[in-house]
Amino acid sequence: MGNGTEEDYNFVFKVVLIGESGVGKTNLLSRFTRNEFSHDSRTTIGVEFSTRTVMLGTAAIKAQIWDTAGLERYRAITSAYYRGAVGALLVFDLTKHQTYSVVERWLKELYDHAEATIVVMLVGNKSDLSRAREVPTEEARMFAENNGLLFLETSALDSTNVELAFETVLKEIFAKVSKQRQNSARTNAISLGSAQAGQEAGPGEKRACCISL
Amino acid sequence: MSLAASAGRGSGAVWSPTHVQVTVMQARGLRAKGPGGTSDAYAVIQVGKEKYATSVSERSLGAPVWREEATFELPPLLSSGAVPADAATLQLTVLHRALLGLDKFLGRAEVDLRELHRDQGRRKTQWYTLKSKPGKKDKERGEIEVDIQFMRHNMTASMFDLSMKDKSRNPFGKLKDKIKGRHKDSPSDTVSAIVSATAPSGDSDDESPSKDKKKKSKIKSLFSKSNLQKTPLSQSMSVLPTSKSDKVLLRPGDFQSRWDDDDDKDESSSSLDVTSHKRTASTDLKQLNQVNFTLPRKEGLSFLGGLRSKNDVLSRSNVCINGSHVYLEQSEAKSETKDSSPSSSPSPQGFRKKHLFSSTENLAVRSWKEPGEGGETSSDRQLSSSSTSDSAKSMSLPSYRPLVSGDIKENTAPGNAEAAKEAKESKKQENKKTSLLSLVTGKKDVAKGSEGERPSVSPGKEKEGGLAGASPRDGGPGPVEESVRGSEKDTSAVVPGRGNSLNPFEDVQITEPEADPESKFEPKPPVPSGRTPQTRAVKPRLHPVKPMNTTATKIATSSFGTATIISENMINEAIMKKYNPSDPAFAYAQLTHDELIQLVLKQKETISQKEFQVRELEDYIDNLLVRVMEETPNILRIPAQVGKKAGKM
Repeated sequence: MGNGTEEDYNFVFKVVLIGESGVGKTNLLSRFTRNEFSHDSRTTIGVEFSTRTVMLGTAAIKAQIWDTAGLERYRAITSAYYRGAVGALLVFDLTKHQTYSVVERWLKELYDHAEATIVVMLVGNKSDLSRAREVPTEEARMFAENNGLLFLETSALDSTNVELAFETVLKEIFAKVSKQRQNSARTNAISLGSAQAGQEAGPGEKRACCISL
Repeated sequence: MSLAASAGRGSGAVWSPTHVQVTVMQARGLRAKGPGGTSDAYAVIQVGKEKYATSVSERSLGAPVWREEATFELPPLLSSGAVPADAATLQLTVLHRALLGLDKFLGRAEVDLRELHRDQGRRKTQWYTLKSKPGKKDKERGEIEVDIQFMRHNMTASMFDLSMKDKSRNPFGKLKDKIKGRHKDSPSDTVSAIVSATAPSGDSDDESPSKDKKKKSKIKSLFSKSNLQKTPLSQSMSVLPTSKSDKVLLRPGDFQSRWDDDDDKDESSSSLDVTSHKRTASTDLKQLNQVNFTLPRKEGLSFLGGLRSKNDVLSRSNVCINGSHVYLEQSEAKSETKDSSPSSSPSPQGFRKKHLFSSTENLAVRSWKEPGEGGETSSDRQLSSSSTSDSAKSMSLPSYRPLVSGDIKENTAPGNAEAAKEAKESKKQENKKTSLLSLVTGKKDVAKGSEGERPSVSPGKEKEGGLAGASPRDGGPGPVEESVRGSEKDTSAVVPGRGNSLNPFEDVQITEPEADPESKFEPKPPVPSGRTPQTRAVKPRLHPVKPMNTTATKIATSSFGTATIISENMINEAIMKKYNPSDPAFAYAQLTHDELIQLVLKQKETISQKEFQVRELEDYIDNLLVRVMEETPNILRIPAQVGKKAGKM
């Protein structure tokens, strides 16, 4: 899948990164959107996003990926952060079991604030540190299956599966959107001119997604 | 209140000492009353009703050396001239301890403290010529060297007003003491000793008790009301160490040896007593007493250790007698630990032990043996049976004497005991905590901060309160007075109980911190100030004489105090050495546990405040973010991509 130009896209999908602090969400983002990795371990403060446009078939999909700090406490941004998200990467550090054991809590928060149809992938990051692995792949996979989640193990450091993870999510979203659009004939296009892909278009549109050019 | 008052005055233009520390250095040219031209000389020093005795310098050839000190509380406004002469006069009496019969008078001297203070200022060491008793033919009696130092806010052994307790002693006990010599020390760690003191003495009182009683009662009222004494104790302990560097440097070895000696002499029993008290702390006095005798010697040792730890709390050991009871109980647990603790100070423990013993001896009531010699002793003899009972009550806590203790215990008024008990219990825990902390920290005296002192002080106060209450009682003969006393005592006991948080004596607290720093930071450990061990009582006296602190090690009976001080200092030094001055920890090493705790609490508070601030900021930022996300999310786009309009068509 090639990268489309920024201006040339058919859909904007809002995808959020969630998970415990320090699992590598920001580096996954930078790896995917800018092909960068930082060993700087600073914690993310605030909220930010990056975009990357990918081609799925003939459609140009603009992924708008949001990142924030993995804080436990409720934040005022929580609601806004999830609003309009059509995909989520729930990231844990496979070398720290604690980050995996709280996945359920993150899932709950996700479903509390995002739409039920959101596409969620469980991502075990830091697969490059396999020696320090604390979370067996199969265990995570089983959990993902049982909860209807996609699953991949990635390494933002060595880029393993990073692209695949995001693209898989985007594809899944796209598939859902396509299906939905087919179902609702009248909803040709909900024009969301803004970048807020997440805004709910209308009663008919469950998922905010698209901008049709 | 009196304390507060005095303190307040002290701050005034005229420097008004609250205490005077008297160190009996030595005497020379004494007449020989004993065999071979020697005498078993001891000195009794008295200011007002407060009285202390040095140890007996046995077989001294007319030139005994004591180097023992005691601190007296001075009436407020000493310098103003409003103080009655007798309350501001230091009476020095040198006596020869007779094996049988009354002790023999060797000479006496009086020092007008007001005058001395006016002329000589803060401190003066000088020889005073010993004279005959008033009305008697003057003859060459030699002279005595005494160091007199005025100070403010000291506390010392004086705090415990043993004089009140002075009771005529049981003749039997007396005899025993004589025979055994030091024996007294051992039995009388605390309670037991007191008890014995209370026992009716066979001594003859020439003078009418009534006079003395009146005086005492007056004094008593002052003390009990004022609570002044209490505070002074803790402080004085700390202060003293600085002053007498020149006196005697005790070596650990010395202490050890003494210690051994003491052991041989029955000390074990005394130590046992103490220990038991401690252990049973919560229990009634009676129970405690009972326990005392049964306890094995081991415990006594541990007890000593306990004392030591206690000392930490107190910061100074001088008061051992008074403070020991309370503290011991509280610190018992610690004591054991301490025993095993640092090799650096082997002697300290021994010292303490000795200390105790010596103190006990002092405490023990002696019958004043001077036969008809002079009126000077009259005050001593005042003890009446009634007074004894009172004193017994008051003293209940401290009873050291195993022999007498049983009976006396019974005598002790339940009210007093209970009150004291309660006070003790309440404070115990605190003390323990502090002590534990000290143990953990490894810091001892060094760490004693003003705050740290407090806890320690409070126990002392309690005790003092008890003692103070008791002393007045002693003076007061009548049963009627007893009731009054009882009430007084209650108040005194209760007050201490309030203890740390609500300190009735704000002034005192304030002042203490000042004094403490000095003691704490005193660099020279080896030279303990005058605070030396309390000397043993020479003999049983009608009026109990408070033990003095010995400065000199050499005195057979005395000088444990110094040793303890020294040892403490050594410990402190060791602690200090742990940290290099360049080490950031060094600064904290000198803090008291309390201070450290305070510091931690403060830091915690600061942190929590910061956290709160951070939270507020986070919330603020979040709210801003929310608005941004909803209205202009593009600006949240990661900077690298600036210029591209994300999501925007």
